[in-house]
Amino acid sequence: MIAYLSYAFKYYVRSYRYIAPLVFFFVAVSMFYKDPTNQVMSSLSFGNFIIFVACVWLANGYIELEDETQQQITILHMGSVQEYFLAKLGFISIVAIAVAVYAYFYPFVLHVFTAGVAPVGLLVGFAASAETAMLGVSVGIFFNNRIIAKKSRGILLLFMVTVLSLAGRSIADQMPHSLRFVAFIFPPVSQTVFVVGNWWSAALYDRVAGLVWPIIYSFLCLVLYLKLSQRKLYY
Amino acid sequence: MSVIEIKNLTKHYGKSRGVIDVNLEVAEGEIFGFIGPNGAGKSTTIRTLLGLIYPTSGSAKIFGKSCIEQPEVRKEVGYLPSEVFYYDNMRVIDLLKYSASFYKKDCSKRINELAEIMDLDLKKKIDDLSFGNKKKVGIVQGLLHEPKLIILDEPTSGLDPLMQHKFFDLIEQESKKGATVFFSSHILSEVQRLCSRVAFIKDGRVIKLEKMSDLRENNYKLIKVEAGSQLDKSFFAMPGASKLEVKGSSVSFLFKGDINKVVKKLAETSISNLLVEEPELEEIFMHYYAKEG
Repeated sequence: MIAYLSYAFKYYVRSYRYIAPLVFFFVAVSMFYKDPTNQVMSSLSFGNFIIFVACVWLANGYIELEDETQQQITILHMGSVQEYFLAKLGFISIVAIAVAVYAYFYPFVLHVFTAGVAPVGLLVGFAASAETAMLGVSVGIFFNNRIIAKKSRGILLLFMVTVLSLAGRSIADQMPHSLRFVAFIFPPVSQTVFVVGNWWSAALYDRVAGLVWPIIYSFLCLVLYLKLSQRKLYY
Repeated sequence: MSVIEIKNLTKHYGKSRGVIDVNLEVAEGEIFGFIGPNGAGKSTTIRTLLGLIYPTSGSAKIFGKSCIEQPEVRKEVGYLPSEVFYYDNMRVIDLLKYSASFYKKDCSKRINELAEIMDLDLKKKIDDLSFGNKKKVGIVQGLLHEPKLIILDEPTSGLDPLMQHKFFDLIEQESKKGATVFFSSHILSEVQRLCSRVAFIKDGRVIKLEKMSDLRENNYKLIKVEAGSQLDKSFFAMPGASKLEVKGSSVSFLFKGDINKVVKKLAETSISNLLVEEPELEEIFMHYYAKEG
């Protein structure tokens, strides 16, 4: 696993596939936090939109980076298809968490916030950043040509799911009460953003939906990805 | 003991055919040839053996272990794919060290030995290598952990004749040390050079499994004769000759049998050139198996 992670790092660094998403990310974070503010929780919550989009982009660019032949050889070396895909997920998760850490600490390091916040708020903000990053990974890895054969269709679907993830809560609010469960089908990014921004007034149900459901959702997506990838290994 | 056991293996890719009802056994220490035209099902069979695809039905075992259910058996396999694509900016030695890092032994001596045999510069960037040299990287990568089973998929494409010779010697050495070799190719002559048995696969089915000694006796030769004057077709109508074609002063035909009979026959007339070639694989399939199968 360590050997793979080291190799994946070299491979990824030399691929330059991270440049576009990271340029977007750094520009978006610096633009977003350019003015001082006393709205700590709402700022942290909206920062999650940036983290999510960047992580979707990074994960989608990385997950099928390695050539198919080299993938086959790496699987033979590792002796396990599952371990291979776990290592890939491990690598991109490390990248995503690094993105989340940067986005979280950036306003604190640059003293953007003019007001303080309780430790619980800080913890909630950090957990939400990390969870949103993992949601981005969970979405980004799915729409690759191993799982969706036609690349253009995969990109279109990825774009649609990303937009629906960002707008999920607003869409659900427009729906009849009986159909609001639909919001749970899409990655719950908007729910997380809402909860962090309104943490002190949010109901327990919303807190759970915003902070626990993303963990379960990401976990289910990653398990499903592992299953699908192994089943659709080399067609 | 059979190192490879494939039983009733069928693989469909949706509605497309992969392989149908393939049965093969390869004994320990054997160099086994697997020959067929492109798209015949060679790579599908190999990928099933490597546990990279699930069979639709049937089974594939290596060292008595299921390639799918007991994937740890993959560690005993060295694989050279038909096409080698590596990350270009990496140095050869970095890639090989990465491969070696998965095995619980020091492979550095072995890497240097193999690189020397294959005349491979370990310090070069993969980007700077020709296709043939990239193939050499694949060969070293496939053999550096001294696998007990070596699976070669079109191993000589891109290698010059001298390197092909060195490569065959290397494979023979590995076989003498006890490794079993599964050699997939569409070139009959290179399979003939190394293998003790050969399976022919066509349209997803193994159509013939033969000892190489039997194949040599029954093999067709493509004979082309050029003469100074017009040739008579009937002159070459001898037992064993088929697909006779006359174009002015040139004659070509397939011949199966004692080549001395052809030489004696040709001695009766005056010729300006004589070529004895191995027929294309498709011709073997069409004329050898279509008639006798």
